[in-house]
This record gives sequence, C-alpha cells and structure tokens, in this order.
Amino acid sequence: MQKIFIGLFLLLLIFPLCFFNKEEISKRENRTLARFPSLIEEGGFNHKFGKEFEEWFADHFFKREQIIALHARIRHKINGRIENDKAFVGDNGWIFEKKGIIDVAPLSQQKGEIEYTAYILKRFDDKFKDKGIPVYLVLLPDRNKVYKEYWERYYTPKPTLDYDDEIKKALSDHDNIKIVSVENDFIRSPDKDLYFYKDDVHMTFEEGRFKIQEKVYNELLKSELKELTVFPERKENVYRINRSTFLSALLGKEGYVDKDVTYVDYQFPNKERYKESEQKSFTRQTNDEWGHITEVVYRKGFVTHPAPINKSFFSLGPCYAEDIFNLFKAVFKESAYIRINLGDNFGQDAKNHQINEIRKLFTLEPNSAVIIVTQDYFEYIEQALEE
Amino acid sequence: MLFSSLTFLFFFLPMTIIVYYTETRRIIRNMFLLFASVLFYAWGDIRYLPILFSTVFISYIGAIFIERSNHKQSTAAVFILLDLSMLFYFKYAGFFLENIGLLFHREWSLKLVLPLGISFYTFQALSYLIDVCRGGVKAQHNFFNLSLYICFFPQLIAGPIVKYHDIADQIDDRKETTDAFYYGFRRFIIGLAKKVLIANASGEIADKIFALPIAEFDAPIAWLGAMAYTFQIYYDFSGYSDMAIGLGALFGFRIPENFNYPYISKSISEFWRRWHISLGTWFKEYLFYPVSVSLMNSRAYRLIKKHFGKKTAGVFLSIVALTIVWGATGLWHGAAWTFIVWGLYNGFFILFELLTGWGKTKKSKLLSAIQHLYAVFVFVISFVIFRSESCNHALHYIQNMFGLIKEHTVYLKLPYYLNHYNILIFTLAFLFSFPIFKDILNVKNKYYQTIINIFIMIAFSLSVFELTANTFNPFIYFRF
Repeated sequence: MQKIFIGLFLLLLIFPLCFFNKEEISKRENRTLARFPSLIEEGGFNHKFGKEFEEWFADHFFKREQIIALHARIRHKINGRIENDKAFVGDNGWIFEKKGIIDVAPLSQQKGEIEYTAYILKRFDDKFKDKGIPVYLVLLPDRNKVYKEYWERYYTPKPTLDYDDEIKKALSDHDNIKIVSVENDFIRSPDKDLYFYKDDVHMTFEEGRFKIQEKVYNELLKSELKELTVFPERKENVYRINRSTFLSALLGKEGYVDKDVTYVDYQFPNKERYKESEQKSFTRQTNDEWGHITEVVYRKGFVTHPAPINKSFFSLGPCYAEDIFNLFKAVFKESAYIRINLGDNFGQDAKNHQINEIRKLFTLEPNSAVIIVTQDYFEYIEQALEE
Repeated sequence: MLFSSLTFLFFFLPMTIIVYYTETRRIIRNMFLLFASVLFYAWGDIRYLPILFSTVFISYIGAIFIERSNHKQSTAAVFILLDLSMLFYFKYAGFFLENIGLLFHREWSLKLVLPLGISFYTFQALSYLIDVCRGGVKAQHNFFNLSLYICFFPQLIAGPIVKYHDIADQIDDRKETTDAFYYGFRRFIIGLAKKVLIANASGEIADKIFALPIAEFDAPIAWLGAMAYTFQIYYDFSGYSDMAIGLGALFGFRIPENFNYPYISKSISEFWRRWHISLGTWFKEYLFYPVSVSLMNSRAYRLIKKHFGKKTAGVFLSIVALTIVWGATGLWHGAAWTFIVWGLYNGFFILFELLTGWGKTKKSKLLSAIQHLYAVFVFVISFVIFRSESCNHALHYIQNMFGLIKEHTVYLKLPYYLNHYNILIFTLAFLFSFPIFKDILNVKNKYYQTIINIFIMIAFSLSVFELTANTFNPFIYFRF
C-alpha cells in the first residue's frame, strides 16, 4: 500500500516533465510564451534566472492552457457570472462587453469615405494653419491587422484599401496635419509589450498601453514641436480627468455617481512613475445594479472597449483615448483635443455638446496643438465647420 | 523558490529525491542535501547567499571558540552579537534610522532588501551558539554538517525554527524508512492543499478588503476581511510548516511540530502554545527564562520584594519579562510599529491571563465557550494589527469593525466577496481549524488508509490545478 502510494506520487511528479509543452506561442492567449532564460547576461550573472525559469516552467507546463480554461469554467459553474445584458465581470475582476469582437463585421472602408475624411480634415486644419497651430491626427492600429498577426481566427480578409496609406496620401498636400501612426509599432513591438486579446476584448494594462503611449510620445518629440513648451516635470502638476464616458455608455447613465480622477505627477514615458501615478488615481463609479463594477474600475483604472462595428478602424476605447490625451497634456502646456466616439449612446444633446466643444477649438491661441484621436464621426467636425 | 510552485513540485523536488536516494553513503547524501539547499536559497537571488554563509561561518567559528574558552558566556556574547548585527543591519537598521530621524525632524532612510529567511536562520544559528555555551551540545567541527543544520531547505526560509539540540544527532545518524517517506509525502500534500486551496483563496478576499479605503467598507465587510486574513495566515503558515515537516521526513529528518490547532484555544497563552510553537519555545528557552532569572537577581526586584511583598515583585517581574519577550516577538516579525504593537498586545493579554488565571477554569461548558470566544476575538483583532499597513490603518480598521466609522460609501457589498466558492473555502477553513481529522495519517485500518490516500491524491491534483491556473500565490512568512 505504502509503496504503491509512493510510486504513484513519484510518477505524478515526473509525468508532467515528460509532456512539456514545446510551443513558443499560446494561440488561445495570443502571446508568446516565456523563453528559457539565459544564465549569463551581458553584465554578468543573470540574477533573475530563478524567477525567469519559473515563468518559463509555468508557461510550458503540461496542458496549462486547458487547465486554465477548465479552471475558469469550473469557477463560473460554482459562482455563476456577474452580468447584465451589456457586460459581465470576468473571473479576474475585469469587465468585458458582451458583444465583443464576435460582432465585428468584415471591413469595408471605401475610397469615398477616405476622401470625405481628408476633405473634412483639410477644412478643419484651415482654421488653425494661419495661427501656426499644428494639427495631429493619431491613427490607431487597424484591429484587423492585429488579428491577422496574433489572433487568426478573428481575422477577416484584408480590405482593398489600407487606411493608413490612403489617408496619408489624401493629406499629403496639407503639411500642417501631422500624422502619428502607431500601427507598425503596435504590431512589431516586442512580445512582452504587446497588447493581446484574450477570448474577450481585453488588452494588457501594464505593458500594452504604456507601449503605445511611449510611441506617441516619441513620435511627437520627433515632430516639429519646438514651438511648444514641454510641461515641467513637477510633482505639483495635477491633471484632472473625467473618465465617466465609457462606463456610462456601457452601463447607462442613470444612477451613476461619478467623480473626477486626479493623477498626480503624470510623467511619461517613465514607466515606474507611471505606475505610481496609477496607484494614486481614484475612479469611483457605481450604480445600484452594477455596484461591483466599481471595483474593477477602481483597481484596474480603465476598461477596454471594442471597435465600432462596421468601421475599418477602431478606437482603443474612450478611456484609452483619454490616456493619450493626458499624455499630450502632460507634455504640452496647452493643447486641444478632439475625441468623438460617444456616438449613439448619448443622443442629440451629447452630439450638440461635442460639436460645440469642437467649435471652441477654433478660438485656440498660437502655442497650442490640436490632436485628433478618432477615425469616426467626422460628420461632427463637418457640422462644427458649418457655422 | 516556494514549495507551492510548479518548479519546486515538478522539478526541484523529484530531482532532489532521485539524486538523494541513488546514493547510499551518509556523507554524500548530506553533501547533496546541502547543495540542494544552497541551490534552493540562491534560486530567488544569489546575492543573498554570502549573507547566509556569513551567519553559518560566524556560528561555526563561534561555537569552537566558545567550547575552548574559559569565559564561555562572554565569548558567546561576542558571536551572538555578530550574528544579531547582521539581522539588525538588514532588517532593522532602516526602521531605527527612520524613527531616530523623526525625533530630529529629519528624513533618514536606509533601503535594504531583506535577505530571505534571515530571521529564521539567524535564530537557528543563535540556538546553536547558546546550546554550545550552555554545554548542552558539543560544537560541530564539521562545517558542512553545521551548514546543513542552518541551511536545510525545508526549514531554511520559513521555519519551523529547529533548535540545534533537537536535530544535532539526526544529521549524522538518521534512518530513511519507507514509513517516514510515506508519511512525508502525505504530510507534504496536506500542507500544500492547506496553502493552495484554503490560504490562497482566503488571501484573495483579505487582500481585496484590506486594500480598500476605510470609508469604502462597512462593519460586516471589515469582519469578513479580518476573518479571511485569520484563515489565510493560519493555513498559509501551518501549511508551509506541514510541507517542511513532510519534506524533512522524506529525507529522514524529524522536524518538530509548529502548530497544534491554535484556533481552538481558550486563552491567548494557550494560543501561543499552539501557534508557531518553534518560535514560542525559542523565546521561552533563550529569552524569557534568562531574562526572568536576571530580573530575579536584580536589585529592583529585591527592593520591591522587600517593601511590597513577593506577590508584587512577581507581578513586576512578569510585566518586565513579558514586555521584553513580546516586544521582541513583535519585532522579530518585522521592522514596523504594527508588529511591535501586535507583540505587546499579545503580551498584554498573556499578562492579564497570568494575573487573573483566565482560561484555566474548566468547570462549565458555557464558561469554556465564553473563553473560546474571548480568545478568538483577541487573536482576530491581533491579526488585523498584524496585517495593517500602519497603526493608524489598524486603528481605523478596528473602529470600522465595530461600526465606529459612520460615513460610508460602500461600493462593493458583502455578497460580492462571498461567492459560492469563497463560502465553500470558508467552510473548509472553519472545519479544519478543529482537530476532527487529527491523527488521520496514523489510522491503521487499510480500508480507511485507502480512502484517505484517495482524498490526498485529489487534494494534490486540485492544488496543482489551482497552481497552474491561478497566479495568486503569496507566502506571508517569507518576508520575515
């Protein structure tokens, strides 16, 4: 009896080693698995060898992916799922929008749409050109390209037109508009820095977002921005951010308690400092039905958002766009910003408000910059230009 | 490396067992165990290794000097101070500097990374030096044997603190039997399950609640957080001790018990006889008794005895000795005021029990139940102090537990934390706190043994399942 037990247990300890996962990529998680660490580094002995070995060992453990999936299923069976018709709270405390990426329709960017966008942008830019105010158009990555690279099963055939190229071409005669494209960087960035998409719409909080902010920051520094004053890095700089929009859109405005977020010492691209500032942030949002979501927002700081359906480009999410804006605010003394992705969730009043906000930009003084972080709703800009 | 990590379970442990048992010579086996222990320790960060071996070296040289010296006590004091100075420097220097700075309105700080397990192995080394000084054991002239005593990986990082006289003979003369091996495996799995299935799940709830701003949770949630942490710390640490004892048995060592169902205690004195037993006995043997003896020989004691009587002098002695011992116990756990307050808080209740005789009466079941409730209440509150970030936080948390903080904005209600899985875990945690399954491993009936083994294998599979899928796997006592 004793010997059988000992033998069985020893076998159990050795068995997983014989069936180690040799894959380098986890398709389910869309990420590269940890690589076997090197004992010697450039600077000498790799002090983190043990930790990295454990990461490698855990990543390649026998049937890891299946175990994780089964674990999640069992937990859901036991606990049920916190959900309403629009969203649910994941096992890890994140909130996921239900329609998710499964609703993504094949891309259908038309030449005419691009021409229309470029036309609007040029007209828009004319309002600033004479004052020497540069306009920056931040092109967010094409989701479909990201899928092709990392999540093939959600990849749909490439559209005939590449929006990045086409919009650049269409705006080439209008050099006041600076284009900041992060797509290539996004796709090619090192594994650990990549956004990745789990089964739900989900981006990595730590690395991915930072990476793209860093890229935008670097792009801007490369650009001709000498006329703009870099914001002094002082602790007393406080930026107030309202992050209500997405959650309100997702969960309904009724019953919401919504407070501003205060970021202290918002400095990029210093990652450590960024984390610090994140820890100091507070977002409190709640309603009776969805009180538990508060925790997600509070803890994680932001919620992700899927692409607008039937559009070739996707917004990385209002909260994410907020971050980009805050980056600009952190870097430049004065800036203006257009973010038009509230769309249909808010009705005509919100649209009018948005249009009025755009109109305010026309009164900007020199030594400012206008940054557009949207590929949708250019009709709002058009309406703003009408008067 | 954590015992409850996949690397340890499926790489380090099987490799160590296989290599160890392919060799039959004791000396080679010991050398290999030492090698494995060094690897185990260096795994986290090799830079800590010289600190560990400095302690070993000081103790090795020290004991030989003490043995040969005509002034054993003063020689021992020198080497004890040397060992303690390293502990002080790495663990307490920053804390003291910071607090001295506060007295002078200056911001002084010294940020040092705490070497893993320094409190544990320093205390083992001290035990050795004191035992040699007292003449209870002979100095170990084999450096590798002494290294193995201090560095033996099952108890190196988080105890139990093995006193030298308890294990000295086993280093050279022990028997690895099938019985012990069988017991070791089963004990290890029980510890693993306690840690992974109960402590980690409780810890997740405790961490969430303790991280909330005080105004964002109310009394029921505060109690839930306190209870969750009470379960976490017990199953975390006792699970680790079970694993250590089990691992020791795999290699023929008998490591002393560290826990004996502390949550059934009826007094805090009893609680401390059942909780972290190795630390309690260490302090009793090496601090409380010597302090008490020297106090009895002190002038102050004699004066009090002369003027106020023997009883008052005894109270004086108890107050001073307990304050020293419990202050030191608190400080041993960490360089922070919360730990000192926690230690003194325990000392206060032990003194109270000593003076009133509380907890000793067994006359009625009702009184027994009241005593039990008292003990639970006191140690749950003590763990809130232990867990809190600062004394201020602890105070507010405790106020919150008793509804003394009125203005709340509770975003997350109690049911959020108490999902079905967590209720299941709490139920198990509660049940296993009682000795209902005590001696389960010693049942002789083969039929029951088979059933127990099936449960143990299920517990192991579930633990591995949980470890693979869940990344939350902290270990509280690693930071000591």
